[in-house]
Amino acid sequence: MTLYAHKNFLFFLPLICTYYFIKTFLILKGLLSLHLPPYEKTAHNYDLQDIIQINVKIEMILNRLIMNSGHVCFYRSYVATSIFRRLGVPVQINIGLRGLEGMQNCAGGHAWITLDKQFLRDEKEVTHLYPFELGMDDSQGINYLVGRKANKHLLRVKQPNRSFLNARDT
Amino acid sequence: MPGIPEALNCEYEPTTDVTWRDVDGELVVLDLIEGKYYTFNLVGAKMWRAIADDNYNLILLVDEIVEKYKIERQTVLDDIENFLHKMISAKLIKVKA
Repeated sequence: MTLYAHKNFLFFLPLICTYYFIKTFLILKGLLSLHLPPYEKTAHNYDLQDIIQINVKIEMILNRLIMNSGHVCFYRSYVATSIFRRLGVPVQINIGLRGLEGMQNCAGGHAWITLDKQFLRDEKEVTHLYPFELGMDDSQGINYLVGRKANKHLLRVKQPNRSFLNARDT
Repeated sequence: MPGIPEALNCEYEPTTDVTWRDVDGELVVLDLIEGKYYTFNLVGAKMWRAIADDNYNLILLVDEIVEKYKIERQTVLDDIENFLHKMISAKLIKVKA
């Protein structure tokens, strides 16, 4: 009976793998085709803690869906922004960029969202990594920042400092 | 001027959708429309500043580079012309109207 079950499992394994591969592909494709509503600065009186809690839930769902597909912070920020703006909450996407030492044409970065310059997830230390304001795309509500050149390996080492862990996400 | 590529005789200016910043001697240029990010080395940054500044002269810049780095003038001219074409095709600069 056990042997029979084992054979069945081996028979279905490629099908299961194919199913999860297609599912992940469709989820990522769906996330990328999500329309980002325009950024409108509106007066609002939301409780920031409520927004943070909603953001945590969105992240939990997204982390399960996209797992370690790379650029997690960008997908997370993009989807959360898309949802919040549909709900009328004018959140901003911030994109931090930095060159990597010894690597031409290669940049590291991080993405995070803010509401009225208040952080929903990442701590303020992230601004130390990307301290210089580069420009703002007002129509999309995307704020670009830039940091000093960094060593890629330093950014990838697991450090107790949260700011380095945030940078690993990208 | 004989021997000077035509591209260097035009006047250029950064396009309106471009923003830039100096970070540790390196120049970072961002195309806000495309969301593309470019970094320029020391010479590239010098050239960008020359273009962004109204009172610039690319020929003077060529002389400065030849003098400083001891490179053949023709090589510098070719490199700058190539760089100008690249910036134009990336829509970072345009010929002044």
